[in-house]
Amino acid sequence: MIQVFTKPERWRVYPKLITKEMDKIGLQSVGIMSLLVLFMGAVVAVQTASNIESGWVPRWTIGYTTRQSIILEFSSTIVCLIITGKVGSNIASEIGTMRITDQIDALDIMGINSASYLILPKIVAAVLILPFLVLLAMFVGVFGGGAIAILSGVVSLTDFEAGAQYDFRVWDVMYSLIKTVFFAFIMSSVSSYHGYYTKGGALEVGQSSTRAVVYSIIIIMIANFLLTQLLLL
Amino acid sequence: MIRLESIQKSFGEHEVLKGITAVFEPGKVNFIIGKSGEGKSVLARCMVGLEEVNSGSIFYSQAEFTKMDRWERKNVRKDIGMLFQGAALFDSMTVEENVQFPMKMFTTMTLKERASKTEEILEDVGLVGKNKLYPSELSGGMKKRTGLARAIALNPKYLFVDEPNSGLDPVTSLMIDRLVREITDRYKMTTVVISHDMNSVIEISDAIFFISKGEFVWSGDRNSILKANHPLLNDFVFASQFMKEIREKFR
Repeated sequence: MIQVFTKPERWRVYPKLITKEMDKIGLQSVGIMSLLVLFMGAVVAVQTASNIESGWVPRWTIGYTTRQSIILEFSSTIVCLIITGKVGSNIASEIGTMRITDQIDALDIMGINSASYLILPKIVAAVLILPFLVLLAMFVGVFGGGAIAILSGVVSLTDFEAGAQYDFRVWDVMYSLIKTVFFAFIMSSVSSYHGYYTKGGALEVGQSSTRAVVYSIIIIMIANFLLTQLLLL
Repeated sequence: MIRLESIQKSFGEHEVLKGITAVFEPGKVNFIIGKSGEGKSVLARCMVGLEEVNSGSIFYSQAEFTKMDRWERKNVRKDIGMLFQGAALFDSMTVEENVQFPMKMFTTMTLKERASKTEEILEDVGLVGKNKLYPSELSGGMKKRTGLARAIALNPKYLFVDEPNSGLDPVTSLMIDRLVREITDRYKMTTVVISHDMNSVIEISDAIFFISKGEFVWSGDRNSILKANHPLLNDFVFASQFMKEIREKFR
């Protein structure tokens, strides 16, 4: 890890590498992320509606609960877990394949700090792009989910709108984005680590890829708990 | 010139290299030959710094590589080119980008200069017009030639070639061998080839080092190898029926 953050050979190649990784990690995940978070928002709205049969609980609670669930937890944690499954395994297998086909040795022989050249752009890209992805997830989750709930007749537009706007705090969004930065770092660094230290052949690349996802998810969940304790209490 | 002095390397209890001493002369194609698992590749990895030796010294010209830190080694590494057994081309880059990669990382050459140098090198290795192909679109021989082109992109003083003919047909093998010879002569490099292909040894070697159980047990040239009276070497060199027949003719 220290090697990753030591001075790179040539700074000017990094912006291009980071942009490329931002595209791979972030932009190429927009579709799948939007689809999943859209239905997540809808499910939260429908489940909330089904649980407030009592006339004492106002209907706008559906909008409020959907917004809070999406902003506080689903957009950051669940989106990062989705990205870990998609991108983490990709990072580990890409670097792992480079390891077993001597491409990393080729970089080392040239005198290039292979850890920095391969891993640093991925970490920087993930940390920079994932907060934007999470912001998008918040929007799609709340409004898209709300739209589905309204169209299916679970809640009226007025009620959902009132709930979605009730007691809105910017800090909740900030809290989610702070968590995302940590999760992005964990996902990219853990996956890169498992790829970089792959030994063997194709079978081991697959195992590294699986380990990368499993360890990333476990560490993200632990970090989620710790960060929630730290930031919300 | 590359000089090895008493190189010793172990992995745990297993001693792979047992005090190897040798000198690889500049402008020559030096072959390290031996059976699989005798320490050829480990020696090559130690020589280029991919593995650390347990004891002994490696000198590039007069500079002691084994005593250098990472930053000092970086300067020596700019003078080293290596062709890997599987070519180790960067999958995400085209032929042209692979060749230009070291130039991009270590020189201040402009785009135009890099393009012109790339054309020159690709012509040297017989890959004109293949600039835009990706490694997955290349044949085994073309991959090796691209690997060689990348290895010589910065005009290195030292060239390491690991099993240049593995997986290639005899005609392509010969082409790669001759290319290594031509490049060595043209750029006056110290070339070290790791191989167990006797055809290559006979075709292009200047000096031959035979490794057995982690030691150089014989060294000589391509004329003396066929006449050598060393049982281990003879078992290796004349393993095939074809080579046995050649020995009979020599006698």
